[in-house]
Amino acid sequence: MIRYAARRLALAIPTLLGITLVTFAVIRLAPGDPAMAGEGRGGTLTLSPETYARLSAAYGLDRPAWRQYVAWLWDLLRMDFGRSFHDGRPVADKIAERLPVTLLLAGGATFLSLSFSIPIGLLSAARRGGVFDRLAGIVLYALYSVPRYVMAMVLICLVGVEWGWLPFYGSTSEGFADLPWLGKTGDLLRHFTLIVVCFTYPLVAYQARFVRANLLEVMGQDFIRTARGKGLREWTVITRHAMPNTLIPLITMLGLLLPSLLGGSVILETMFGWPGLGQLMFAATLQRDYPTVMGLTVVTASLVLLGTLLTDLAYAAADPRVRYE
Amino acid sequence: MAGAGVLLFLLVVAFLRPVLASRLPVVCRYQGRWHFPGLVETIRTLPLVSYVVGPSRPLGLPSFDVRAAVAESSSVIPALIPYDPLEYSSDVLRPASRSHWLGTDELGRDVAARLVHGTAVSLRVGFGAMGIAAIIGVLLGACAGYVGGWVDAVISRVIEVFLCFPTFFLVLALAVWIEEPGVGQVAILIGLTGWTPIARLTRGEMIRLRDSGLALASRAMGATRRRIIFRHLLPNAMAPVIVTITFGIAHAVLVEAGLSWLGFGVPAPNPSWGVMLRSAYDHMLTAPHLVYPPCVALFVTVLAYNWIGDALRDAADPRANPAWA
Repeated sequence: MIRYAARRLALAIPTLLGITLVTFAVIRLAPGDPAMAGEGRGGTLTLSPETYARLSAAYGLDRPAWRQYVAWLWDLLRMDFGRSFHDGRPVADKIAERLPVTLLLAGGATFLSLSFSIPIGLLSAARRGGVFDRLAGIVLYALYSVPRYVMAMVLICLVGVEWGWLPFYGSTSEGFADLPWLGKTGDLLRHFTLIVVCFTYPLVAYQARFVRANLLEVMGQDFIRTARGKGLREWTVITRHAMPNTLIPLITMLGLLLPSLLGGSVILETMFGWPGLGQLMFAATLQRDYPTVMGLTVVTASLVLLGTLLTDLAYAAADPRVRYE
Repeated sequence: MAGAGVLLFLLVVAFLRPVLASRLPVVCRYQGRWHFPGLVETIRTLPLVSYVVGPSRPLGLPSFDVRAAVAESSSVIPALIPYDPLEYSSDVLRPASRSHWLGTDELGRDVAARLVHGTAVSLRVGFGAMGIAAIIGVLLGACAGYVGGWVDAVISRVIEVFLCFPTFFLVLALAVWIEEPGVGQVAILIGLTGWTPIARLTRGEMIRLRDSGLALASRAMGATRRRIIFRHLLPNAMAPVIVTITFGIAHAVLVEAGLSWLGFGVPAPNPSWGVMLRSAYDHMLTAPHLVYPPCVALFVTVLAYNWIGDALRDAADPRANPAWA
């Protein structure tokens, strides 16, 4: 297991380097450069040549590209993401204060989706072809086809605006600071609800189908027949013998969902005014805040890499056959 | 099959948009002569035709004279939705009525007309983006899978790196650098960031096929490497790739709509479902009727592609991600 972990980690390092390289290249390929950032899109350069030269030197743009890359990489290794162009604050701070928020969203969505999809998948497989199974199939398929931000718009429109049941913007209401501790939690939760629902429902649709298919396949195997032959109750057969074998592919699939969760967060967080990484990315993009954009891209890509790595390790821990590949 | 039907409907709507939604009548009799401006425009808007035929001169008049001329004509059969999608009016934010079947948006433009023309924009971006992604992905994947060795190692690392970036983060980081976003540029952008799943799949298929009897027989006949890959192996590898491409088109449409919602997609007056969603979002409190048309359109499109993709997948590889059955 240790050897497998070491191998996976070793493989991850060139990927990490690749991430930094791609991020850097994408920014460097841009027409214009940070020294002209204030001019906006396609604006003519109104800085005097001396000012431009000074700005370029300050940003290190007069050095060859590879030296800039190495310098930036070295800063990254020391966790120095530079300072934002927009408000001068260290990028690392801006990311750090929003990271937990987005992770809360991603984690909450994953947890919620699993709590729904596993029972739904279980029930559908156990009573295959029954009313619940067919109904769930249709409903989940329809839900899966609704894009997240479409659902968000509809929910905001109906639940937020027309019916007014739940707040739909920001993470707190006015007067948040005056609320007692319990009120604060409740307020946060109410703001959290709509956006988490939007993140969760496609996951449920996808995972339930997965669980159901896997469970059906597992249930057709011999060791289940043995278990039933031993006289165990059906419930025990399913939960103690079939389910654990289904969970392993589920774990693998979870890790693969991370990029889509983080990517989808840009639009949804902007729509709901949720102060997470996605909203920061969009704002920084609008403001041409290059250090923030670069820092965010590297951080999110690294997070995804970490997620994939953890998933692989979890898979290897659960299924010993993997370690010997 | 229903999916194919819906897609066909969408394609028809997109192609016939000058007949369905335009200020130009389908048929009219102006100054004693029969004219077919709607039909002529339909042919002119087919891909590539406009470069050959030249700019639009309905009724042989410059465009600002057309309305007056139509008013003078007899035997007029107007388009189904007799409004231009770009035409402002003072009838701002009206809900659905007899004259405007889906209402008007914040600039007085008819929503139904914009929906129809938006179909063409979204589909064009979807197909264009996937076409680019498919070409890049298949080429790289085939080379990586067949040639192996360091070529494979490099390409696989590149794929892995790209897979770590959440879609929107990468697309946004690239979108900022486009000076004048146009429909074509958006398609290229989405294609450039969406080729990785196709490449990975093609590579897997090539690896599976390169040691097969087919490849061996071709090699024994003395075929060059290029011939083996393209003429013999690839056609057999394409089945799952086509499935991925189908789902990818839906994904590209969604990414385009998302980009347009954020303001980085199709430029301003062009109707796109994402732009319409943005108008709806901005004016949700005063004009909730704007929300539903683009939402329904996007939902129907994704549903259709999911149907088609699932059917294709069942035909190609029934065990892959089994349908709910």
